[in-house]
Amino acid sequence: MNTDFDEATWVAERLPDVDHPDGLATDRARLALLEHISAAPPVRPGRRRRWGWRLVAAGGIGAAAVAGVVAVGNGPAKPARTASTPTPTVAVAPQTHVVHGHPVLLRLASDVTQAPAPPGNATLVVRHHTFPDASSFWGYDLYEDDGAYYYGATLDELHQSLADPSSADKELGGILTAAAGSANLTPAEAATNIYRAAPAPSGPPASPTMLRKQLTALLATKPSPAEARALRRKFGAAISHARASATTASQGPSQATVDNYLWGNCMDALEGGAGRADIRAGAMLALSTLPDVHLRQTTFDGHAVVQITNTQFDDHYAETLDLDAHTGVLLHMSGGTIGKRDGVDVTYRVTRVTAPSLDPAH
Amino acid sequence: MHGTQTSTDAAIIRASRQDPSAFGVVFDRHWVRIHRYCVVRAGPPGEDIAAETFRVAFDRRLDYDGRDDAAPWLYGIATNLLRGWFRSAARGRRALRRSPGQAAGDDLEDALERAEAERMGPELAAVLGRLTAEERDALLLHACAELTYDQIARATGVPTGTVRSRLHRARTRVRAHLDTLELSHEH
Repeated sequence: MNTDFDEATWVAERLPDVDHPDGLATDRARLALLEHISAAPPVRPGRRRRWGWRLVAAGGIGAAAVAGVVAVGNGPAKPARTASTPTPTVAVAPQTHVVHGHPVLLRLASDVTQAPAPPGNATLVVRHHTFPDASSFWGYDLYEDDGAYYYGATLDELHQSLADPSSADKELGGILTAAAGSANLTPAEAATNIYRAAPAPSGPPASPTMLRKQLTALLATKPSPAEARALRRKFGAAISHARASATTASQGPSQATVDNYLWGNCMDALEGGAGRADIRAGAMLALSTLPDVHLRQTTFDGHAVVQITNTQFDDHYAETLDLDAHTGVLLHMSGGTIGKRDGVDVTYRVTRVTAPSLDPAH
Repeated sequence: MHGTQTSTDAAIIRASRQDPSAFGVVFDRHWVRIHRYCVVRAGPPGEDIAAETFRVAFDRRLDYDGRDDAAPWLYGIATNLLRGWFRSAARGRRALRRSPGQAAGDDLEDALERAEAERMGPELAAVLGRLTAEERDALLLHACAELTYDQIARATGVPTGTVRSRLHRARTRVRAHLDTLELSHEH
């Protein structure tokens, strides 16, 4: 045997071949870690709520935002309305929200309520979604003041929808009505009202085992990376919730879940009520009660905006809303992994119109 | 937004004390390597052991030594879990084999190496079977995980000098075995 022989190399060359872990194995391991993290006690007292919220929120809003991306590939079926699609969680009564009262939001809400009643009878929201791969699509949403919602992938499609009243979706009406009725209430009252308009669903949570099987089956269909991320977030949160429910023998939603649904409802209100000052004000009051939502006064596309960033999602996901600094109208939304290019970027053009003609209202 | 792409493992583990979800970055960075090490040694069950490694690491993050690279720390956790798994596998096999009334615990060390040896194949098994568990760990952390002496010391919690001694003994035994084989082929 020659003197250059290296025993470690000899061993290394004879080790069994191992393939890279496949996506399923990685997903299973990551999910197991996520579950474990979510069940872990906090390092410091008082942090449990904050970070439990991140996990649940990741399944609700985070997943839904990415699900919005997924919807593009599958057809433009009202992607914006998926924003509050619930994870399989459970609910009882809403809980009291701590009033943090971001001064900027409270002041803006107060200013907005002074605005005169808007002209017309509906709000037309034209959305433009862009994605990291440079793909994009438009969406045309019409929110009538009576709560009816119509959608079209083009303006022509929207007109066709309007011609068929049976195509109206009134699901969002409750949230918009609650937000409008909250414009002159306290932030805590606004939060409670808006949460109650579309609370977390009731019923026993699915078992973690069943959810895990569902996830495995869905991941086996080889979804795109964005879809896989969305699935992992959604199911991770659901499994965390199911485990927590089993541990506490409680089927009610945690404060984290309540906050999660409130965040989603407020986003819906800001979008669906973009043309209504009272709805925007109510939503801003409710948003001001949410912990760990960061505000910044900056500009977007030349407009002074109040930027609301929610970084409390799992997997370093974050969402940002840009509201016009003078009117509170939603101008822009982005969501994605911190440190990376946004996974979704939406700009909004909001006009008051008269339905069904859609003529601009003055 | 703050980036985590360029942060050291130490910074991320520190951040995970306040924001536990940050620990996911540690998983993303090291999963493939830890997975390979565990599956090489234990076969398909190594996949679960690799996953368990990150859960254990998360629980121990408050005790992390603060070094920039967490890989040796993770390999150390994985190595301990593998040892536990080999012992369990050995116990299970003995229980199946044992006739009523036969004493337990008769061949623990033998079974410990056998479980891994079966995975490694006859040629490597013949070599690794001549090593103690500590020597085997050191050699495989070096040969499979490509850790340096210092990193193996971190992984196994012993001084670098001890690692040097273990690897020296392991190499000597490997070479002696191969020399024996060579001689037997010549005759």
